[in-house]
Formats: sequence, C-alpha cells, structure tokens
Amino acid sequence: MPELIEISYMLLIFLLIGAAPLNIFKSGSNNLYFNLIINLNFLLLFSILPFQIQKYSVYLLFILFLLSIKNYYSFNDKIKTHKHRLILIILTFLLISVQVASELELGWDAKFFWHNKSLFYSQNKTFLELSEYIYNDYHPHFGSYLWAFFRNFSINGYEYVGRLFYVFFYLIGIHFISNNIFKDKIHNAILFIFLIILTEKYTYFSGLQEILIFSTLIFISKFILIFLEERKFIYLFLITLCMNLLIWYKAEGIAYASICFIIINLISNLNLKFRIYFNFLFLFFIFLKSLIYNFFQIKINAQPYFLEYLLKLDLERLTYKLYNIFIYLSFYSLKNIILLLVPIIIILNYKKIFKDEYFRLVFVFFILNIIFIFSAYIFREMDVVFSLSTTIDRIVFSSSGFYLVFLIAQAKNYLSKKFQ
Amino acid sequence: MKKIIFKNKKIITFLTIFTLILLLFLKTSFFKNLINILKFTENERIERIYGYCGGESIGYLKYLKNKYKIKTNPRVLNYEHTPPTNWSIYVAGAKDYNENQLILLNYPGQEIDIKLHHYKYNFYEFKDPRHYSKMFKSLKKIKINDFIEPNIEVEFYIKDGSDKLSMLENIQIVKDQETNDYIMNQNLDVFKFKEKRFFLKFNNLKKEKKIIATLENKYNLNNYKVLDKYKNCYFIE
Repeated sequence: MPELIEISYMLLIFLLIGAAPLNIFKSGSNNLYFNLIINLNFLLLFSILPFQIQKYSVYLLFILFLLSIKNYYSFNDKIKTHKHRLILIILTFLLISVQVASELELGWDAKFFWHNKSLFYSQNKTFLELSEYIYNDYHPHFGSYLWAFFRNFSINGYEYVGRLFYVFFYLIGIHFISNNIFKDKIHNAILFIFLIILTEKYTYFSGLQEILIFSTLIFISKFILIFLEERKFIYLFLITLCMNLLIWYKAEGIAYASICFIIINLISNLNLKFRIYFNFLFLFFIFLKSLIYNFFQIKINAQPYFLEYLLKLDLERLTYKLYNIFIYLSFYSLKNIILLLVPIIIILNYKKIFKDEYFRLVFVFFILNIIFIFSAYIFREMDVVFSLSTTIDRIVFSSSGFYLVFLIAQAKNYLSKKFQ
Repeated sequence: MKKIIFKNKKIITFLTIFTLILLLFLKTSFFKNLINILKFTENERIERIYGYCGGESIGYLKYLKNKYKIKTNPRVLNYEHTPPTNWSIYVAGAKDYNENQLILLNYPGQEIDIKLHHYKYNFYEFKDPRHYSKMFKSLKKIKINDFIEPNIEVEFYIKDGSDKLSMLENIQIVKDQETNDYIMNQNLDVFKFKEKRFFLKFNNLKKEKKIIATLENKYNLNNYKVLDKYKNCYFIE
C-alpha cells in the first residue's frame, strides 16, 4: 500500500511539471505538453549549476505549485472539460508504474553507468563532481539527472521512483499525438490505449535512455506537423527546445537533433526570419554544450570512433559490416512494426513525396535515419555482430518515436477516404 | 433504424475500449505485479530478482554495505558473467576501486575448467575471454580427449570487429605423462581482449576433439584476510 501511495504522490508532482509555469495558448488544453518541454529545459539548466538537488528542488516545486494554482483558476472551465484525459493518464500511469515497481530490474547500461551518474546528484554532488566520473564522457547526463531529481521526492527513497518520470514523459508524448485526432473523445482514448499496447515494454523504463529520445522525437514530429499547418514560430521554438534535450540525453541524440535540423531547413516557404531564428537557436545550443564540456573538461566524443580506424577500413571489412548491419536491421525492423510500416507506406504512396510537405520531411528523416544507423556501426571500432546484437533494437526503437505521428496521420487519411 | 445503428456503434466502441483496457492490464501483468508489491518490500523484491549470493548477488552486496558501513567503492568481482553489480553499493565521488578491499561473488575455487568450443578446422573458441581474464591469471593446462601426441603446437588468435583473424602468439605445449594434461601456463593479461573473440589453433589436431582448459584464479583466498563470508561470496582485505 505505501508504494501505491508513493506512485500516486509522484504522479501529482509530475503533473505539476506540466501544469506550470506558462499558459502559452488560451485554449489551456495543450499547455501540459508545452510546459513539460519548457520545464525540462529549465531542469537541464539546473542540472549544470553548482547547487545540490536537495537544496533547491522543494522550492522549485513550490513555485510550480503556486503557478499551477493560478493557471488552474484562469482556465478552470477548460480544464474541467478535459477531465477524461486526466483519468486516462492516471490509469495508464498506475498500470505501468506498478509494473516498474514490481519488476525493478535495471538494464545493462543503466547498471553500468546511468544509475551511477544519477547517484552523483542523489548523493549531494553536482555536475562538477560528475564530470570527473570515469564513464561520464561516453554519454551526457540529463536522463540520469531527471532520475535523481524525482527520486529526491520519494517518501521512502526508492530508486525506481525517479524512473517513473520516464513513464510519465512517455505517456504525455503518446497522449499529445492521440488527443485530438478524432472528433469523438472515446475514439481518441481508444487510439491512446492502442498506441501504448503497441509500444510499451518494461525494459524501456529500466533506466535506459532510449525512452526519452523516443518520447522527445514524438513531440518534435507533432510540433513539425502543427507548424506546417499553423506556421507559428512558437512551434519552431519548441522544436529547438526538444532538440536541445536530445543532445543532452545520449551521445546519439546529436545525430537525431542534426537530422531534425536538416529537415526543418528543408521546409518549403519557411519564413526567412523564422529560418534565421531557428538556425541561430540550435547552433547556439550546440555551441553552449561544447562550451560547457570544454569548461568542465569533458570529452566531446569518447565513443569508439577513431580516424585511424576509418583509414584502415578496407573493402572486405566494409562488406562484412554492411552485410551484418543489413541483416540485423531487417530483423529488428520486422520486430518493431513502426519501422517496418514506414518504408511500406512511403513506397505505396511515393507520389505524396512531391505533394505532401510532412510526408516528404518524414521520408527525408527516414533516409537520414537509416544512413545514421549504418554509419554508426560501420565507423565504430568494435565487433560489429556483438555491437549489433546488443544495441540495434534500442536504436530502432528510439528513432521510431518520430514516425508514430506520421503513421497516425496516414491511417486517419486512409480511414477517412474509406468511410467517405 | 438510425437509432439502432447508433446504439450498435456505441456498443462496439464500448467493447473496443473495454477490450483494449483489458489487454493493457494483461500486457503490464497488473494484478501479478500489484500482488508482488503488496506482498514483498522493495528489498525483498531486489533479492528475489538479483539473488542474495548467486547470480548478481545484489542482496549480499547490500548486506555488506549496511553491515560494514562501506564508504568507498571496493572492487566487486563476480565469477558469474552478469551485468555490472557495483551500482547497488556505489558511492558517488569516492575513489573507484579501493584496492585494499575486494568482494568476490560466486567464487569457484583456485581453478576452474571450461570447455573450448570447436569453431572450424582445428580452431577452438575460448568464449567470453574478457570476463575470464579479469579473474583468472592464466590458461594453466589443456585436456584433449583421445589424443596421445606428446606435444602440440598452439597458436592464439583474436578476431577483430571486421571478422579478421590475427595471430598473437604461438607456443609448444608438452604432455604431463602422469595426468595426461598439456601444461600451458599462458598468461591471459598479455592478450588485452576487449570485446574481441579469442581462438586457439591446435596445429597437429586432425579431428574435432573435446577440449577442456583449466584456468588459474588470480585471487587465492589464502593470501587475503576474509572479513565476511556467505556460501561462496566473500568480502576480503
């Protein structure tokens, strides 16, 4: 029973992160998603400052609490009409959280470094001390920081409580893309639960960071879709904030952020002012990260990619690697239905590439994503079979978040044509 | 008529959402997990998942941390190949590996026998070399079934990430007439394995044979002070 109370209490805290500080949109209904992205960027900033979590987290939450009360009263009527959404989130959060609390087991990399990195924050250390940790250079820290930040609110100090935020973030991402697809609320609820059944697995919440990339890519994809419809800069701004989060979760986050950067620049008739602001903001975030890494003397790239290795890569080795990557990628794409459906839909509707802007962007994202996956294994100095067998399922999963919005849009188009 | 269709639609929608919720309950094994968290405390669940002294042995590590108020990061060596275990007692910022203290999990004794797996021709694979080289100092001897030659030439190969075999060393080993073992005493540290595959080529071996290698442990308990012991898990200094 105490653990169920703890899970419910944590949900309230997570909701605070979405309910405050801003009311960007008068409708009130979408603020949860936008605030979540904004607040995560604030937390990212806090994670680098030389303050211990315990010293500021309660105050931070208290301010968010006051702001969310203000927001609640200013949009009272609208919030009441969205109660059913909250019920769905509460129900699914409860189901997955109980699973996390029961299964408990951490993933291999989580045991290797993600959990230890989060302990730096939990044990009153800051980014400065973390930068001296021997495994810190491999990947950034933000996912571990979130783990520690929310674990800090646990009544009984349970480790898994911090990981429940990953569940919350994932659910909000899925909710964001399924909440206004159909006019009927029940149909949206059906879609929401269906998507969870399709994508949920305990291992994604075992302390590994792919779920954060997956969820953030969901947000980016949806923001792109809304931007193409409304052409408001606020969505480009939110995309940039999401890209900033990506580069702080994991080393490969920079690849996904760069792919997003390319596809946004490929949007036709993009307002020049928007283009300049967007490019400047993203490059600023990249520059800021390099500056921080430089200041704390963290290696920008500690992954096993070396120039000497590239130079000695002969045709025989290259063919061997390409063959294995192709086999493993095909097999894991068959296991992950999302990545399997994307090329099928693109091939069946190839004419849309020239007509539909979002379709074209997803097509480019897909091509660049495949190029990234191949390059990541070709240029890595490691046994390629070992490397593929231990990581490709996660790489396939993390990028598939981007395609969910696309699949829903295509399915909706197909259904509306069929029932016209 | 319209009313009936509308009613049917409502029933179908209700049934769909009910089925999906039921599927989600089943997929997340909700009731099994709920009973698990109501019945067992977090510590008990950790022991059930990771083992006390066996497998990852997190239960024993947590017990040691509480009993000895360990404030450093002692080296934890698990003779069973599992994911890293030191996360469960990790002290952030403390020196990594206090060389004075050592925790040995699933300690198998001074020597262990492992089977070499036939790869092709007269190549035999020594699986998991990186893991073994952390805990065993040498390949002490080899037993080859149904093989009577007094000596044999052995070549050591590693296979890199691009499937290329490269020879590291070759030695002649001689049969001990009393035990019928071929004495090798090959130091494992010299090979620097990383994630590479490791092979032994037995040059005058014509047919596939059953080959057992004996590894010699780096850690002899007689050379250490045992601070705590539970079954074959040790805390030593």
